[in-house]
Amino acid sequence: MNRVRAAVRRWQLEAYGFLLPLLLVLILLAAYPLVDGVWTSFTSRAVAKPGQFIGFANFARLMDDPVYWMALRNSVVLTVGIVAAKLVAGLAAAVLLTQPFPGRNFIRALAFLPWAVPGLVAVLGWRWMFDDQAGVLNALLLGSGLVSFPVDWLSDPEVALWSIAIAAAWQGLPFFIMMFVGGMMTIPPELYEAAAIDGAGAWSRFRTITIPSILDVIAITVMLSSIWTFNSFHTVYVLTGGGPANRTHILPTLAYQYGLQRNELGQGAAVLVSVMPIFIGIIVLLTRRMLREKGVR
Amino acid sequence: MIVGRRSRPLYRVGLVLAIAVLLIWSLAPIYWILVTSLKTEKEIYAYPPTAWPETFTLMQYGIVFGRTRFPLFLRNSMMVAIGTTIAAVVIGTLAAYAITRMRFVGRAIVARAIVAAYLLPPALLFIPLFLVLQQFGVIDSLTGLVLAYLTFTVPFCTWMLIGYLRTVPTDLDEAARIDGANRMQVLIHVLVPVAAPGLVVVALFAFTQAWNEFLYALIFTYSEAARTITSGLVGMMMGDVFIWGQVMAACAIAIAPVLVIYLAAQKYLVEGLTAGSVK
Repeated sequence: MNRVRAAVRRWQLEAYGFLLPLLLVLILLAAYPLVDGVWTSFTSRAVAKPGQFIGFANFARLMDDPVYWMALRNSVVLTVGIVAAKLVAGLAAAVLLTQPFPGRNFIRALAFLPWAVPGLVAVLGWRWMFDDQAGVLNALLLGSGLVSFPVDWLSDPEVALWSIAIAAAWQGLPFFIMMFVGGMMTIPPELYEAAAIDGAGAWSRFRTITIPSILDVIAITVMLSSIWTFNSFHTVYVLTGGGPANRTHILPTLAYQYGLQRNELGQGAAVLVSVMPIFIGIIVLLTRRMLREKGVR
Repeated sequence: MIVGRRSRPLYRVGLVLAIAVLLIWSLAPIYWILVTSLKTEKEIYAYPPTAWPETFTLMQYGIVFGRTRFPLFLRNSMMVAIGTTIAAVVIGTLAAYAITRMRFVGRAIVARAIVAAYLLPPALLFIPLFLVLQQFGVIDSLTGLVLAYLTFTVPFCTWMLIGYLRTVPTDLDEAARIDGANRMQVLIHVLVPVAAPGLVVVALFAFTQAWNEFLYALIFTYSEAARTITSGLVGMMMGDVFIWGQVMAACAIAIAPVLVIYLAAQKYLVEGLTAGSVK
């Protein structure tokens, strides 16, 4: 009996030996910073200054800060808008790329290409195309007579949000198409044939067969993409830097400005901590779902 | 009936048009980066812009390599990406082995923590991670960046490797165990060779993620000696307004390694990514 117990204990130790490096990373570089970040949001900490506990003062300041509310609004509107656009365009593109036509694999590889472009490079490319003086988009629009004045792609805050959305959608769309193509390829063709014999049109087949069959894939894709889109720091940082007049900030760029550029780490951390509950909620939901799909419980 | 629909001329025209729109949307920005990088300074700012360079020049690349710190950034990025890849694949393989092959208390919690850490966005973590790297004395160094990149590459690699190792039948390692091999020997001599294709795909992912990363590179490095291509590129852009030719040339260089990886392993990368998310 004791022997068995000793053996079991040895297995446990052995298992944790294999896991040790992973646990060090998770604890020292993820869990500890996370806890430290939450703590920091309740202090007046700055770089090279430990600061002190100030309760909810940082959060109270945010509540009275119109820039914070603007950034929160932008974050939500952009995330919902971009994810919705990617969902619709992704479904359409996936239907297109699952039609039988010659060279389909090659066309797919080309359509996925933006996914392989480093995010920062993509945004720099878009910034150059959005340039109001020498940018190609204004040249095309002016040349074709669609507009008579150059569009202020990045210097008009209302337009700039659209520009940010376009650049972000360009980077994120391939992931949606890949996931949906992958999902649609697993639908047995017999289902469509049977529906066609019953006289169902293309749209009704899409609604009654395609969508229900890939609902799980859609749910996971939308949740994953919402996390990434909400945190698309580089897109806003490079395109507008949060300007003009702080009108195009999203929460991560605002946290960067408050925390690191103004050196009010506590205030910056508070910006991030204020939305952490939402993320923890999504992450818990998604984690459960992804583990279930993989059969690791 | 479906066949009939598909041979209709209207369907075919629509198909071709839709493919054209999708490809223009996907490829035009990449095309524009490349074309701009091959133009002379004068042609870049000419109105209307030329769709194809009138005079091809590698001048922009010459400036980027000869007169900027870009070669140093390139070297730094390479070192950080390779360091991150090796560390993440080794750590991930050890952990995935334990999770797929061993029974231990807390297995479910560890599996859950891996997925949660993979989902945790860097944009939520950057301020506290900055402070932690400072405490460790590795802020503004390549080592610090590798440590920071492990926060997303290790969970991702482990998660993908769990998927790969689960497809390898346990009979293989059980046979080796009966022959007297210990677990480490089984992992190195039996599982790693069998799972090698999966390991390569995971390594390519880790390399790409580290190579492309920007937020941490921007915040955790501030001296030129520790800058990577992504943070260095933004420095180039902010420094002077009229250097789009050089910025686009540098962008083209930054795309090159990941593009090669993508072209060589596109099928496996896409399969791995979609399977990693849903299966």
